[in-house]
Amino acid sequence: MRFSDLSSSTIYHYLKTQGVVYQCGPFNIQLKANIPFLAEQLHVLFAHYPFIEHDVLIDFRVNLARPYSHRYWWRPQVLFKTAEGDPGMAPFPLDHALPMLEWGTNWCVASQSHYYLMLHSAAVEYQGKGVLLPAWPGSGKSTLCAAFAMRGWRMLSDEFGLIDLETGLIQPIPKLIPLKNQSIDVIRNFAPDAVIGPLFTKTRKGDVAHFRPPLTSVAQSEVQAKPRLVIFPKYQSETRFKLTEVTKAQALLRLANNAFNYQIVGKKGFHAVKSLIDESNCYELYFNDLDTVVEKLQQLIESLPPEE
Amino acid sequence: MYSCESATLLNLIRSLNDIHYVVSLKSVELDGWLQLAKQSGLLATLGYRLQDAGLLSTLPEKARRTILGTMHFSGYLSQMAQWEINRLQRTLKDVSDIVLLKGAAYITQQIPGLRGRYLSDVDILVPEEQLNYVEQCLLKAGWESHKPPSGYDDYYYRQWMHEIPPLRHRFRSVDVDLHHRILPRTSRLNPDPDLLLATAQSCTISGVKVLSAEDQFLHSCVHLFYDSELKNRLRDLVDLDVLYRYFTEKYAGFDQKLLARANELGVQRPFYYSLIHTRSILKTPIPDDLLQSIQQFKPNVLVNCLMNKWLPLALLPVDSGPRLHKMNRLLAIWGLYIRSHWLRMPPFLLTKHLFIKAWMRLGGKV
Repeated sequence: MRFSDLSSSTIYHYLKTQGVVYQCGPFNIQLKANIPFLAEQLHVLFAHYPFIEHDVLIDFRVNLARPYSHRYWWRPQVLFKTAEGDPGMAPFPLDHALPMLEWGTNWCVASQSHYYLMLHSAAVEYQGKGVLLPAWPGSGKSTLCAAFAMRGWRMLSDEFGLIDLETGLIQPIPKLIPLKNQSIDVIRNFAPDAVIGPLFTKTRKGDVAHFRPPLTSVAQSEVQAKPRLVIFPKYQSETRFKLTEVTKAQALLRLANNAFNYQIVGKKGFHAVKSLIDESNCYELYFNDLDTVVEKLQQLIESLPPEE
Repeated sequence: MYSCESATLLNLIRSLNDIHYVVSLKSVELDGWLQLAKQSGLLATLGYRLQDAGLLSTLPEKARRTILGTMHFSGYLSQMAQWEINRLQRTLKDVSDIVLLKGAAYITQQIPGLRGRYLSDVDILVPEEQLNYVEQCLLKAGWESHKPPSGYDDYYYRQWMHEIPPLRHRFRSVDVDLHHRILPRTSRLNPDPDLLLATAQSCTISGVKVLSAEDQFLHSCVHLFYDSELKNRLRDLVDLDVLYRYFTEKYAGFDQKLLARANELGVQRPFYYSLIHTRSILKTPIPDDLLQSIQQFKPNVLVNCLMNKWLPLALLPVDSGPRLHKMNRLLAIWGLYIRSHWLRMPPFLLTKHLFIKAWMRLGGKV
């Protein structure tokens, strides 16, 4: 069963009682929240996520709690609580519960998933070939990721390039993509049928609206992808499209520096990055036009030799 | 004496005793076990035990992954601590022998059952007369104090505590706690640090020492049952259990030496609590004659009764039980919190300290 099979009121009923359990990529997340409008938002944005009713191992137990103080009524707030530790997030205004949920679960993943090498990277797949897009915030990787997803690529992740330390493959984690500021309209214009959630203004990252990953991406989130391209993207207003090759040695250093937990996974992390680079062509990308990027990269991927 | 109401907690305790027990847990039980083990900071330790017994790969894939993740993290912490020890040894080579305490000492001795134990700081003990000199050497070599040198916190540490404010090297992430004794100057018990230093033994790293086996065990007793608030400290009880089993096997006559040393250092009461509670909760194989000999260290009937009731409640990890159980647990935690402060410093000093802290908080200086 998926969230789209349930009504908002059923979701709300679960949220305020035993909690909903949803699966996002390799993680099962239990969420409790006594917030009626959140149920409506989840009904739309979580529509494709599996809604789990049987017994499973839970990775993160999240509670979006409301403080028992005057801030329950007066300019109400919401707190992010988890059984797995304290992310130290300051309270958010109650109507920002969804951005808090998304950022909070990012913390859960980043702080506790050292079974994976976690790259700060978007990841997509086209014709069975995985593409990593490692970049720092503000480079446009979320926007690119949403754009690819809307042109029939498989979206793997917009933020966490999870590399399975045993298989060396990319583990999908199709979280909602938080589009920021101008990116929201860029994606609306690029793909009018994209499902984008309500606009949250004045968050710590400016205006944010969440893009819902397509059903095909979510449905295949158990299938790991083989990395074939590593592309360091950078939005640049004056450059339409520029793709330059990066030497493998340089790409290795850049990728290692970009990981959340490179030092924690140690030697295994080094080997993962090394074999990833060995098997991939590495480029640097400057762009200002999504249609061109999609078209050119599709050509590039089609020209790659198939897996032997 | 101790009755366990929660099945999940019972599963965790059983698995600490016999790691094979984990394999028999069904899906829901395993989920609860994982959560509780993680919350108690024991999952990585249990992970290594599972791995050593060849059981890790028999668990459901998801559980195996979660456990491996925590093992990677603990491996990283351990490596950082070892590097810090290496840097300390190098910096203090011509100054003083370093005596490692607690976690850092366990890592250096590679005590098998404690592999995977989380640690975020390296505790070392130096003779008080060398304290300033050692501190200066570290400051010159790049370590820095978190506390402003003329602030109240700095004064508080130096005047009343058993350590100076934590030092951290500017390029690294591990705190170094420099001790000159093992309990605050103000505490009612005060084992003589010279006795501890005199019997410290060398280990595999030159210039680095660890306390004698008895002192390591007794320090762990004191740390848990005298100098902590006892809330959610199952992991510390596991330390005691493992140390006891490890040292009794390694050194003949360990029990007798332990008893004599507890008397010598004047730490009979925490020693008593440790033996009683490790045996009752973790089934540590403490022989009856040793238990018999420590009966003389028992507190009066009232205190004993209260401690027996409160200790397991507060010490064992959070677990949602019936409402009455939760209320009792809160009461126990509160009571033991008061106790920990009572033991730490005289009431007048404590009042003064709490007053100053509250005042600073009001002024937004904390």
